[in-house]
Amino acid sequence: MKYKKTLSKNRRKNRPKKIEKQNRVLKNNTTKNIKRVQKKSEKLDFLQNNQATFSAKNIFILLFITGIALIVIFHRSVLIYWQQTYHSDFLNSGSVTQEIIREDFDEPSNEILLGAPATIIEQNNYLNDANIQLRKDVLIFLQPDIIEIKKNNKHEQIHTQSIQDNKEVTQLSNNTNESVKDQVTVSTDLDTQKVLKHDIPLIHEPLPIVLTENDKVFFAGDSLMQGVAPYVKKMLFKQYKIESIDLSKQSTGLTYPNAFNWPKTINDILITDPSIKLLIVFLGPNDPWDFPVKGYSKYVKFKSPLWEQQYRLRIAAILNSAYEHGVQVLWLAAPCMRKSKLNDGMVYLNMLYQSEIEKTQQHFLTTNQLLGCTYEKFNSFIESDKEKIKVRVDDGVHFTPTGQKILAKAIMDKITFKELEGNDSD
Amino acid sequence: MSYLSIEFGLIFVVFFAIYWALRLLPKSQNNLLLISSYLIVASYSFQFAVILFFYTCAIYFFSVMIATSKYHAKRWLILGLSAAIINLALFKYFDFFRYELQSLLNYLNLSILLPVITVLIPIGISFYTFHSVSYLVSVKNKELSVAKFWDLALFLSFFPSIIAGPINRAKTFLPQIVVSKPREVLEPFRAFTLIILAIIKVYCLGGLISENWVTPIFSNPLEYCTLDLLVGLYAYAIQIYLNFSGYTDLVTGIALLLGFRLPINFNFPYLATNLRDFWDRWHISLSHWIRDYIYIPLGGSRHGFVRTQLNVMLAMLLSGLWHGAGINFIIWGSCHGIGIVFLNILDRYVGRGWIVQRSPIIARLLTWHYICFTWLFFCCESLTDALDYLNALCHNFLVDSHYIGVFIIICIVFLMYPICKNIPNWCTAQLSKINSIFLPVFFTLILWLTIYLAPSGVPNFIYANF
Repeated sequence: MKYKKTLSKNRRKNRPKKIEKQNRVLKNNTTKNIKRVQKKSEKLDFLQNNQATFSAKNIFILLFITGIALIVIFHRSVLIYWQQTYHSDFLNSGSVTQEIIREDFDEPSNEILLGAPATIIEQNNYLNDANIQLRKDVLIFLQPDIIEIKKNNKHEQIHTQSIQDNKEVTQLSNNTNESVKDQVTVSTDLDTQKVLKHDIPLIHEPLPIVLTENDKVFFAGDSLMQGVAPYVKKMLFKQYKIESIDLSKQSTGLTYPNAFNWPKTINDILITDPSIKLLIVFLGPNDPWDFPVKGYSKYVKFKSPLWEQQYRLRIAAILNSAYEHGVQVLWLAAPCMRKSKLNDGMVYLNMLYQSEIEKTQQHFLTTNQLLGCTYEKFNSFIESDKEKIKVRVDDGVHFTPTGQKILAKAIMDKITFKELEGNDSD
Repeated sequence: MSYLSIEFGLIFVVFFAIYWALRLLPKSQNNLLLISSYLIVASYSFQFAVILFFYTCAIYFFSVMIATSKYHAKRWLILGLSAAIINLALFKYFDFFRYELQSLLNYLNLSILLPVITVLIPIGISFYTFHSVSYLVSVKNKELSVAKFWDLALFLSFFPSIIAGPINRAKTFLPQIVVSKPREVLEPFRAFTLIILAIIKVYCLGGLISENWVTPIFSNPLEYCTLDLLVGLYAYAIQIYLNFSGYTDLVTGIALLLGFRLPINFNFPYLATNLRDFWDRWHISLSHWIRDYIYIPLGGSRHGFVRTQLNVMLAMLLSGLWHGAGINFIIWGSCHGIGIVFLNILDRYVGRGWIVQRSPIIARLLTWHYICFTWLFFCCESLTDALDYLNALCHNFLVDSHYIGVFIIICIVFLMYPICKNIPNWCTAQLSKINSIFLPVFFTLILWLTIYLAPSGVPNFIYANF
């Protein structure tokens, strides 16, 4: 039908030309036209023949080859997708069991003690990518004294490398004590000598978050944040004219830096936009899975000491780059989840977030009370005598708009606005 | 399982091979289709598959009663339709109206706590309800005899069209199921074109537009200037078109490869020169369904001018309500209703096609802007969000613009758009000319480029929520 239409259009268009133009042109035109018509009819025949001969078998071969070719081309993305979706290595399925980890675990630490730290440095490749040097331990004690740390910056950079290595050693060798508190003290032990004089205000109340109109807020996180951030963005702008950047992305977390590297992204953004003064982080549900660690052939089991150590490093990397840029952090706890396994994962992850946050004296916002549930009992509703307000959607993970607004308000409550002095024009 | 996921792609290739290995046994093909469809539904939740099965049983029962009852066929039809609609409404709207009811009860000081149903909205429930309504009506009108149970089950669960349409009619689709002679792949080159276009539309263009233009602007409209906000609206209009029509292309292509023909759902909607024209081009299977099963039974245009306008309004409101329970969708529906009523009045007193005759481009421009305006309510989650957006649109003239380049691009695309009309047919013709040995190379190249350019992650089908 369509061909006929276009053909007739061509004819109609060409007719007046035939009359107007000279013979030669006319000849040309008509021959062209005839050719065109021939071509089109050929095309039609060809189309019909081809359609008839193009059997299901050919299509299967076609689909098969195309599929294989695409998988080969995108094999890296496919592997990352597989990792994110099924939380295992496609090629080496299954993850390391706890026993194997223990064995594996002792080996590298011994190696390092014997003076071969290469493998461990490799482990932190992604951190090096982000140009983040781990000065976590130093920071904990120096934090109240910002000027001091800046003076010492160069000096520190030199010896942090060694601190880093040393710390790894101590952490690794002591990691068999699974207690978190132990780890903290052990990892800090090393530096106490150097920075003991700053050690007095160990438990500090985090400084209140005060923003002015010129400051920006930066949202990082997963789909939970994607729901909440727009509301906060709007409230910030409506109430205080504060602009914000929302880079939250679904299915992201700290577990698979190959798929999305939050420490690096955050560091990059903080470098490019110095007006950011507050970083709000909300993630977790994509993280309670085994992940690969360089130097280990198999996936490291969730909640194992090596896992915890790696994960803590990632949290610390974020907090560290925030600190370097003078940015405050507000970290939202992952709330209760309907699925008990996921819920247990959240309890554990929150413990890591909270302890790291407390070390750097930043803000940690627990979300359960706001949403009317506990880790022991999931509830999609905030219940009162009078009504039930639905705050979670039916997947038992995400929030309803009402739930998002509640969290957004809680975030807003944490922020104090300060008028700029001498800003009379507004 | 998303039809754009890697898993689906891989499973489909295997499924395709088995399906056509059974070419000589259409009955076995049907069984395979039925099992696969139920597996896909169950991949969302096992409950959904169970609900769908019981629903099928109920519809089968009603159709048998309609066909066998001599004197009460109409009553059975009404009963069947009510059951279907109540089922849909319970799942879709109960939660919405529970709030309203609860606040009313609180207001009246009645201490009744309404029960809470925490069942998800079953995937595809809207679409299989529509399918079943067309089936029951066809049986009542004696256009169809009662289908065999398993054929009906396949009609309601047919996987390409269960998630987000297009809405099949029993009259045209059931005969495709009940074939006795072997099926053939239908128009393979058109199928390829549709699938590739779908991937380009949904994955690449739709994804890029959503990520770069729609999400940032809609996340805080107050920050942006009027021009940027216009870009946001345009971009959303383009995105929802690309997403939904791309999805339709994909499933139509898949169905063709399986030897089934699905109804046309889109016909370049933004070329429409008036709102009525738009509804003849946008989600055609839905607007025709509404016309045939709501508008005409209400009386259509047979009861005078005023009554016709009321019917239009009602049909459009129901269409809005179908998209979701919420004030925004009701506003969206009524905007379209008011638009069409206004058009009817204009046609009656000024003359049909008054603007189109004078300047088609202005007619197109006006229609486009009105549609973009209505999408605002469709897109925003709450009325306050939409009002904020409108407020900013009317006041932020002096803010710096960040999207002026995009605005120019969209203007050019708008002017060039009529040329795109022939792209699908042209592509089909070109594909058929390529030697079949080179086809895999060609497909791989195109898809490589598309996926390379596309933002990461599988995009959602917006309409799968409805």
